Amino acid sequence: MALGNAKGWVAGRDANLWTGLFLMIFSGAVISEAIQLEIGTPKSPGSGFMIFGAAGVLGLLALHQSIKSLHFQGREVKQASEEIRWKRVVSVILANILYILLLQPVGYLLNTFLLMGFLFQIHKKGRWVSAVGGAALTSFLSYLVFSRMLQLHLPRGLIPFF
Amino acid sequence: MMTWSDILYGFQFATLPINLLLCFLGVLLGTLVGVLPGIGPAGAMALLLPISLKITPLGTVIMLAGIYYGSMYGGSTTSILVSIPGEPASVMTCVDGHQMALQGRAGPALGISAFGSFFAGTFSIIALMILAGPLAKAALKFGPPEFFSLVLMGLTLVTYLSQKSAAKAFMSALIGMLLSWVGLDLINGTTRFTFGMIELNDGIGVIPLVMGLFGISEVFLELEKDERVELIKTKIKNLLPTREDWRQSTWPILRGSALGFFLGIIPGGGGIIANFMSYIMEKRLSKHPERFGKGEIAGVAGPESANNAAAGGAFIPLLSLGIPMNATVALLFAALLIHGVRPGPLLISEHPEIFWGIVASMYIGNVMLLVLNLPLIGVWVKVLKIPYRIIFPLILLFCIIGSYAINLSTLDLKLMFGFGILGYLMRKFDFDPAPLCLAFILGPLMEVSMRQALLLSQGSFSIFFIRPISAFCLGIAALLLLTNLIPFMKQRRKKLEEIQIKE
Repeated sequence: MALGNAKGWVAGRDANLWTGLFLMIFSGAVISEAIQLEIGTPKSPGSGFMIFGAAGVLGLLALHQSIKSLHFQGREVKQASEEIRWKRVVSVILANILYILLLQPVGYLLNTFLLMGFLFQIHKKGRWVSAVGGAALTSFLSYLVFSRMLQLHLPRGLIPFF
Repeated sequence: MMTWSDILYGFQFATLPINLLLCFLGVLLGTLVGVLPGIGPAGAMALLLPISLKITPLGTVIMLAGIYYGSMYGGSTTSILVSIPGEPASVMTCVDGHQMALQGRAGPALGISAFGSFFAGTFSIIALMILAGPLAKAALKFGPPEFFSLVLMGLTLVTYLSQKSAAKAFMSALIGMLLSWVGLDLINGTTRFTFGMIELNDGIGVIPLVMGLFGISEVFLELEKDERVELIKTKIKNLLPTREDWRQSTWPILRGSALGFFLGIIPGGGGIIANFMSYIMEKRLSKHPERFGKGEIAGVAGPESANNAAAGGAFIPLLSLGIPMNATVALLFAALLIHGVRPGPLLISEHPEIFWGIVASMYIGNVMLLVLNLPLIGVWVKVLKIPYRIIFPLILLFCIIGSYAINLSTLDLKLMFGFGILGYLMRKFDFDPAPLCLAFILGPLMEVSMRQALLLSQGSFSIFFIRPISAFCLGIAALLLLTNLIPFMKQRRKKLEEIQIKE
């Protein structure tokens, strides 16, 4: 497998094959949408005219990449798992997804404080005091600058008076 | 034709206190992002785009342009002292610059890099003043076929010059185009790929896209690694190069400035290629090529001048043709569009205060950068010691606020993180995100020009080949595509011959 390999990253034949296949499916979906939008004729090009052309070329290039990767006989490049901090990247992505979902109900200030607290301690675990201090400082200062000084309407959420 | 009164007119606007402050802020932030590895000028400019809504169009461009050329100055400091390019455009400066630092000559390396950058920056501004006007006049004769072919040539050049696979760069550009067509069709008003979301009727915003592709994805990539910034333990002294240093550096600076400026004008050129090409050129022209890689000052002076001249050169197609030639300049284009100012052939006549104001501010910015980068070098050395674990949450926070501020919509935040993940995966799979960004910006122009041209010619594609400028651009694009195919064809022929021999 190219992606999601727990032992490390493979950037070679398999990766090119899977991205090629994915892009072929993607271009197929776009082409069908372009047809629905109406391609038109060169004399009277419709909304799907350019989309059809671009997605067609994309599909052909993706097909070429997939075929090329099947004939690839070189050595695959592997990167050792210890060099890549997967958990760190995935946890930051998940934390941000959670942040977006909670932004409106929880509000900017509290939500940002929680996110910053999590992010500040991700590199070195156990530094909770400095992480909480940093989070409080950044969330409050950013609120002060953007909401109060620049008059940006940030969600209030659970703390209505802020 | 440019006159002294035009320049003075520009200085009238550029020297307004608010514009001086914005220029200073721009070059300061530019140097900062140049010094700090992990955040580039595109990311920093994207962060400031929402704030720019509160200031004038000229002020916005002065600040954002300052970040762009300022980052070129700052990138050399990290390259020389840490041997990590603060900016990709300073990658070759690491080679001899860091060797000089290890030999106790960090001062002259930083000094010649700052003076070379200053000269190259000034050179490119003068060339910009001379060339932009005539080019804009010529561009007034452009119709839809010319614009379509020019954009197509630009995108082909970008993919051709991409550091990664040309086919992948082309696919990246095609994805960018498709993304740019989300929303209302500009010609007949049909909605496309909106999935019933009214917020998408205006299309995908450039800010979430750029912040995601360049800001968020860079953070994800940096998070994968452990923090290891090792500064050299030598005292930085003698920032002013000696007479011998000047003797060895004068020609590389001149050559680097001319080469960088030329590479800045062509699509996809930019600082990275200029930095590489200048290093190769200096090594080839040198009487002592064996000294390169061991602390040769010409290996710092040439490439550093080249990347700064390229930054200036990139303003010519933007301001005179209205076509950004790299992803970072595309952000300047977007910033002007947000303010209702369309860069292009009419910019000089319709908004002379913006054109001449930018030019004048670049003179001022270059002087500011010289002061910031030489006497204040100690400050930047301290900045280099700030751990990434403190910087990255702040980058994420600015991205969040910046993206949310435009429409006060969480959809923009979702899009930004979506593009962040896309940018991260693209880099992992060796796809260059820069062509995607550029095609996203140029996509609407390309589509409208193509359809208008076909309507004009009543469906005949010959309109693209019978008009000389359009035919010339398409010819270049075809040539570039063919040169990409030649190695592939040769390889295939060789394989067929091998099979025949086996049989």
